[in-house]
Amino acid sequence: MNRLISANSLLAPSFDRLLDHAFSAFAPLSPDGRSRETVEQTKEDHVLRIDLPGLRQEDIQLDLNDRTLTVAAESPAERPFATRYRRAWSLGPEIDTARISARLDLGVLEVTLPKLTPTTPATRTIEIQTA
Amino acid sequence: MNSNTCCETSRPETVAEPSFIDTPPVFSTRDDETGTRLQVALPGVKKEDLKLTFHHGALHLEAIRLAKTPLRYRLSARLASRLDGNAVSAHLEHGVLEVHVPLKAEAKPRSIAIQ
Repeated sequence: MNRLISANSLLAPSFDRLLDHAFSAFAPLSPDGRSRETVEQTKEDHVLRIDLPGLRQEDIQLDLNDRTLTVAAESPAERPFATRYRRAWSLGPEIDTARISARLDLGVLEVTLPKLTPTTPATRTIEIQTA
Repeated sequence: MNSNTCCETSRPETVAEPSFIDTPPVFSTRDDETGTRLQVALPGVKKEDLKLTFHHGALHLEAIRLAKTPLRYRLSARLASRLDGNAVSAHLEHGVLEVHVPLKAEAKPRSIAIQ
């Protein structure tokens, strides 16, 4: 999975799998040592929060590629707490990737990963066709 | 008849303190010709949950970050005698608190006229 990390990244590559019960309330510090990450799970979704103080929306790139979620952030050197950050997560099958949303507020990136809504299997009669 | 007595006595006398995880904030300082700038990373902290005071020659910061498990960021910094703790200004933006502590008037550089 190293291909997910750009060649010029100063940070160690990291790759997590986001699955039920895979996280404790407080994940360890991320590779840059200051961007604390937490994942909170509710009945409806997982909420991933990453501390990125001083970063603006234009400094952060959030990509989803084949159920791999990548957060890449880089802020100009003149900004407070200028950082380069890159993390990738492989999303579990219970995540509804079409409804992922994100917001940046108070220096915290919050990514909401909704769970797929279980559908009740409908009973239907299948017509048998004749040749 | 005093049916309320049981309820009065069973009520807890003290309200439980909210439990915080004390966390030292990441910060940096920089001196320039006007004084000192202190930058403190306070992600997730709202302005109303932040307290900055100057007391006994030191700046004290306490910030509460509300979350499932709330965090408390605390920092104290003793100011150099050339700095004016009574003229501190601060603003919070993008999760960073920037504090400016100006030099005292007598510590500011001044031009001396040559006779």
